[in-house]
Amino acid sequence: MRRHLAVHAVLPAAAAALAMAFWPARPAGQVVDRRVAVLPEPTGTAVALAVLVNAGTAWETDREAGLSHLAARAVVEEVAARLDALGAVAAAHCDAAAMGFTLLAPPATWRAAANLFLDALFRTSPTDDAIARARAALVQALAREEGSPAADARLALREAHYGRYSRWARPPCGRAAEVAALDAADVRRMLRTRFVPARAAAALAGPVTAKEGLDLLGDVFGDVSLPVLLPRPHPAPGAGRRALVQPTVTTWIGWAFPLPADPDARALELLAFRIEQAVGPAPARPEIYDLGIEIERHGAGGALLISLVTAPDRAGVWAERVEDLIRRTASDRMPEAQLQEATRRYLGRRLLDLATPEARALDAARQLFFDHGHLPPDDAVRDLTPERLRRAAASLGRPARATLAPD
Amino acid sequence: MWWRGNGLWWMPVAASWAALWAAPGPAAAVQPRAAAGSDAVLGPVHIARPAGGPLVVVREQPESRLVALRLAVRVDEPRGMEGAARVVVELARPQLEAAAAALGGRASVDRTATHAVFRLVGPADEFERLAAAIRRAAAGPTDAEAGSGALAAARVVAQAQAAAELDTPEPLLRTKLREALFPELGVASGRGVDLAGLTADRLARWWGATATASRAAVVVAGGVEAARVAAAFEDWPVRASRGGRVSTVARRGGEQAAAPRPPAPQVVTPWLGLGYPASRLDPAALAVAAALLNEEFGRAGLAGASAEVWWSERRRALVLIASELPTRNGGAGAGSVRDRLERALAAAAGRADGAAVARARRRAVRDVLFAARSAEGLAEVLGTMLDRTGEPEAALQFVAALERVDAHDVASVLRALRGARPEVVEVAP
Repeated sequence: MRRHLAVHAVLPAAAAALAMAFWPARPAGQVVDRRVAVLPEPTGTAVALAVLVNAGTAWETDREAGLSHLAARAVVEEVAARLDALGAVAAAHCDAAAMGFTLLAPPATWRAAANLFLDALFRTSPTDDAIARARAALVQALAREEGSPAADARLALREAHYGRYSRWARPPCGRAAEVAALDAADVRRMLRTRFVPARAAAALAGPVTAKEGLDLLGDVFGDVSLPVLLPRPHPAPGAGRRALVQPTVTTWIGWAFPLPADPDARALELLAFRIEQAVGPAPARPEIYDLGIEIERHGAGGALLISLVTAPDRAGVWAERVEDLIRRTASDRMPEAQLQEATRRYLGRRLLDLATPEARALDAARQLFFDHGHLPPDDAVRDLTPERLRRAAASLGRPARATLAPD
Repeated sequence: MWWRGNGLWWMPVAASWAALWAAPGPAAAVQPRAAAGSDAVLGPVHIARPAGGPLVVVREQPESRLVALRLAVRVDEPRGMEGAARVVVELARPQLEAAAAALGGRASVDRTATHAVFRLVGPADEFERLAAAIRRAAAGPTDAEAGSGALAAARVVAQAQAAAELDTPEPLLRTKLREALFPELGVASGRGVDLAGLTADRLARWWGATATASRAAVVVAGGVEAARVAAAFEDWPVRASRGGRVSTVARRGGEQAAAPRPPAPQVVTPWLGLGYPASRLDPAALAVAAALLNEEFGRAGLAGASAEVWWSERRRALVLIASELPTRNGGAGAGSVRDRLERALAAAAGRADGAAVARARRRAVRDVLFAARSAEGLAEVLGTMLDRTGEPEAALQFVAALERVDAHDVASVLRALRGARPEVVEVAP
């Protein structure tokens, strides 16, 4: 009986050890060029395509403000019904430096859906009806958001950082009144001139082989050896100050820390995670209502944008804590054990953020667009060191700052 | 118990998984199975019953850096213990969330109509620690965790959740429809029961009798090998013996605690639900019919209306739910909503040609595949179907069956529904 139990105990452990020995190394078969990537995921249940196009507010004249976003939405509107018939869905995302698209399709129809979508994006023009529908929906969405203290505060920070009259200081997704004035000819012209494969990066993730993915992307994107030429703000961003007073019950504080020309994006993301852990809303910090952190990239580096919403009487204390945390990280190397604990949590967060194929595809396309390469999250985190984190914090320039407080 | 939108079904199977895994042998037998064929997108799944442990179902995804664990315990709450499962999961929540956060993961707990569900998702490299955390949480609260403060807090949360099902119109409508269509499920929320009589000792003894290996199933999806999963769930649950049987009533002498008055629902617009019993209809065709009906609702201007397939181990139903904005003369009443829903049902039957059914079928398949596109979503799809059917491969079989549905199947389902008498539930201002 005793011998039987011993076998009983050993067998599962042996089976587990054997299984681990034959477990495939990751990531399997990823193919990455300077502007396209294929992330084969054989057990996935959906295929995602992400495309980032070098268009956006940075390339628009004053008269064209919002045009890139409207054009992107019109492309999606044009093909939405035909994609639906294939069981696929597409969406557009706006950034200051790029317009992004994601397409999600079942494995059985992904190729037809991707061809249909890429054709609409790069080869054909949307109909007047599709543009009108996209414009109506976009104007409604922008109007809902405009005029809120949060929108005013975000805009004030952009103005403080980029200068009041810079293209980069405009809302990246456009303004309702400006979008309402744009016509179909403007949209088609923007699509023809700026939404072109040579100015785009793309990634596929899901149950596709590297060959299938490359065949499809190669047909559309052609020679992908040249990286995307990123726009640069002009004049160079500065450390401006803006202070707004409004009838609110909270205080909003925003910082824009300039990044160096060649930023260490992974270490900066870890820094952002540390700030979030130390200052973000938590039961122990009831006076913190919200915290947003974003790394906005452009050809001259970019900016670490932080927005903190807090109780007015505690705003000064928490502002000092944010700045002090960044100062201390820049001056003192984090102990190795502490970094390991932080990176363990940070890796978990990154993996959860990239839990879906469309999130992984969009992340890969963003890396290609801004960094001309792709690093899976675990590889990126494994290489982080206390010194890299310190250097990343020290590389931040003097921040622009904006506040919105009660009158 | 149900997915909103396009629902899923349970496929009757001749042999139960229990019989399959009752074979003798000391070690966990881990076998890959692909019941729906080699091209099944959701599978194959590996199935095991580790020694002294629960049923384990694993979808290996070697390329995934995440792993999702879902442990479900089938719950029956006897008289006097209604609502106890909600208290148990709320007691488990803090420790599970803390364990997840320490590993860079995320946790959630839930009381479905039939099960207490514990979920964790995190880095695949942390699988053993995640498994240990979920084993510990689902085994039940320790004496320290079920101290008077924690128990009181969990009771308040459980009662608030139960109240939320009654004081807003749509959850109230769903609760009433479920009670009408699935009477054997009882009142899972524990509403109307005074949870103050639920002591830590009674709760622990009841959970000890409920959370046994034979009533539990673990579904794991992501970057972990099936053998490691089976090894991690051997001999679960392990808990200190408390002895004694749980009393099934709250007070001595068999008197149940006085039921608190349910909250009055806050209703602004009339809501109507039609529940068509459909246990004998082909479930895949039923799901495609629901997708077709949802398209028809959009065409008919029934914004916010939905057609859903609900099912448990014993029954299935097609449910239509809609609300109506009040009109100037005080509202046309639920009758007009019912007319419009029934007209939509007739119109869908008239339009169920090959092209329309193919479109609806693609949408139904897409909804399942997209829901399963993350490790967490895949574990939920597999686990929910397992909870409903007792069949580890029910989700795989369902997707395969959906692909085979044709216009004739859907027409026959819609004809049967039009001839059936629905359960009607109204929630009016």
